[in-house]
Amino acid sequence: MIAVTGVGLLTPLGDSPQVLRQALEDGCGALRSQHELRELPCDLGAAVQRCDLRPWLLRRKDRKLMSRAAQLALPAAGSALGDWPGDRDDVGLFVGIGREPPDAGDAERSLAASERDGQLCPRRLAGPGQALYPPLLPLLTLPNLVLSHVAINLGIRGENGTAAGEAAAGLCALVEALRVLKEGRAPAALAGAADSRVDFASARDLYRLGRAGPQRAPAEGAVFLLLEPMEAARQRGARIWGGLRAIRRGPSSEVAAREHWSLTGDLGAADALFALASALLFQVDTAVSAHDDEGGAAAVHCSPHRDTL
Amino acid sequence: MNAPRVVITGMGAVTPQGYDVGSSWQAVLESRSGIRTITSFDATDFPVTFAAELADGFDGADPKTEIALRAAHEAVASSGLQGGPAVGVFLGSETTRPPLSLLARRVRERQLPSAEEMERAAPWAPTDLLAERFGALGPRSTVSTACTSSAQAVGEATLRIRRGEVQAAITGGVDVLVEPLMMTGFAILGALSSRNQAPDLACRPFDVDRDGFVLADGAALLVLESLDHARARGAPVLGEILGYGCSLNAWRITDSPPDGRGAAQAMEAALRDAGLCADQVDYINAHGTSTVQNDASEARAIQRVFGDHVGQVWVSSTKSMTGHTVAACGSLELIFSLLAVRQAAIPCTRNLEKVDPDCRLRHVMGETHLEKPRIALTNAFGFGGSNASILVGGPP
Repeated sequence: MIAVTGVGLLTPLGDSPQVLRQALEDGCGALRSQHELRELPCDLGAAVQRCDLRPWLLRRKDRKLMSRAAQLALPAAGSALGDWPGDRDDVGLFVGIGREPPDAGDAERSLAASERDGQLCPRRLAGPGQALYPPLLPLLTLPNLVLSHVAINLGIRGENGTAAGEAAAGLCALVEALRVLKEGRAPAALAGAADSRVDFASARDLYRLGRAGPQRAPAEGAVFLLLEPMEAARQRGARIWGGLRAIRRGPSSEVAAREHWSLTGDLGAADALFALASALLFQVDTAVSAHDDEGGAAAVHCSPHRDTL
Repeated sequence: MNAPRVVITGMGAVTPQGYDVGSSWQAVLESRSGIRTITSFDATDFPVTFAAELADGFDGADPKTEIALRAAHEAVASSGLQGGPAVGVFLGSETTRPPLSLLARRVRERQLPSAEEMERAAPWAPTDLLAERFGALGPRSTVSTACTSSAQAVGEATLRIRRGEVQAAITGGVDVLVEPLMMTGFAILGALSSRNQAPDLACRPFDVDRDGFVLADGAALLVLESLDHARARGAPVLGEILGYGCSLNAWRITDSPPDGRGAAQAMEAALRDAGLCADQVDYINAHGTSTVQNDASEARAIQRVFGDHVGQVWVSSTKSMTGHTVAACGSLELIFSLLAVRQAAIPCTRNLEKVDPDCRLRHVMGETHLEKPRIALTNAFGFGGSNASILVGGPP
């Protein structure tokens, strides 16, 4: 059994376990009409209201290199890591992320300048097109850079992985972290997920792929857990939120509409981890599983700490 | 209970030098470069006019999937692997850039890509296709960590076999990068060599006159399986994955740490995983991109890890001939590393004429060195600071 010794989150319903628990107890909802989504079939979405990177960012100018998902991930991961007393060199880092952010039109001016006679002309792309090409675009869209920004700013250098997809991505990252800890390949690991889908281009693509609707509004958020072997967590007197173990998926364990979608919307890659974190906050003995079209599938059993201590 | 030993039973490759493992390896042994002036589009006015592109035969709508399939067919056929629920697919792959015709449609008609086009461009599209085509019904995943992608995919396959989650895996990586938008993006970042007058001299890892890397297309796939599974079905055992390690630089997004710390950590983790000492490794197929920072950082890392043994371990970078296949480089260089062990031939670093004082190692220069390494190590270091190292040896 692996212990959860830190929970960090940044969601539309709150930016700490305490605030989120209160919001869920009160039945608060975060879905709002989003001005940016007004041209879509439904303009509902759930956005994180406040994302303060200052406590975590080593170099302020790096913010402009960070995608929205990376910006959400860093405070959540930093909060989960908290005051971990060990050497961060060997701490593992496993991150679930959503689809690569779609081209939100950043390259549009470059492409338009590269057009000739209705075709895109490479020679014009090399000239006026290149001058208008946004130089930071690759840095904002490469999927592994969420992991990189968390590692850089928190000083984590251990075993690592990035899983991309929908809800299963976060759970796959968590399961990999659980296995790495079980095999003794790291003394502790941060596992989490971050996704942002409330910008126009992301939400538009979700509607076109049939993955958003009035009952499944696009949302954004990040959830991270600090994990340690149970025995080590007990020995250092860490606060233990609960125990986790990877399980085989049952035959009917695919995720249907989650209960929290009516409150927070669909958090994408962070969705299953949000459900798991909620179970930890309310000390519910449960199994969380997810299966994506992208091929990801994972399941985790979560036990409240009173049973695991 | 001891974890199963993981062996390689099949290999396949499509590179600018050849469309199978044999011809690609022969070109590397002969120090032939696959880097030349771009012909697939008019690159005359681009800051960089050369790359290592596939010559012909892959000009369909989806060349990335085509070359992944071709390499996988070679790997699976040579292995004789049959699909089933105990076979997984673990692939390194990035999002496919839209072709110019699609971008032109977007500019001309303000028409977005269809849902089908979006799915086809997703990084996991080749993974899903390979799973379907070869009847691999076990777990599958796609690793997108830039230049580390396929090394981490092989690492994941190795760990899953050891854990008993699968008995066999189709793994490796694929990337198609020689197209106008990628050339534009990387040129703006200043990462590419701009030696337009002499493309075949452009990629010169560890050389004092190196000035950047060279983009390439390629796919490299392997079949891995547990030793027991391979023996039970009479599969050809070509070599063994001895160890795998990965790490993060935690340094900067676009730079490598000058002290090589993260890279050293990955190599040390691989050695620890294998239960080996550095002095048991005879050859390193370096990441060796030919950028000023990467090569110096990697050399420092090798010096740190190998200590007194650094003068005994041969080092070369086959990217000097293949170019940088990014998501496919880790698995391609793993194949070359295994072939070096199997055929007692260590490829050289082409164009390495004057070693940078910051990159002092036991380089293989000029021509292939005929010596049988006992164990080879291959490195892959990714943009953003992901590192992976794999140790490979001959058949157990």
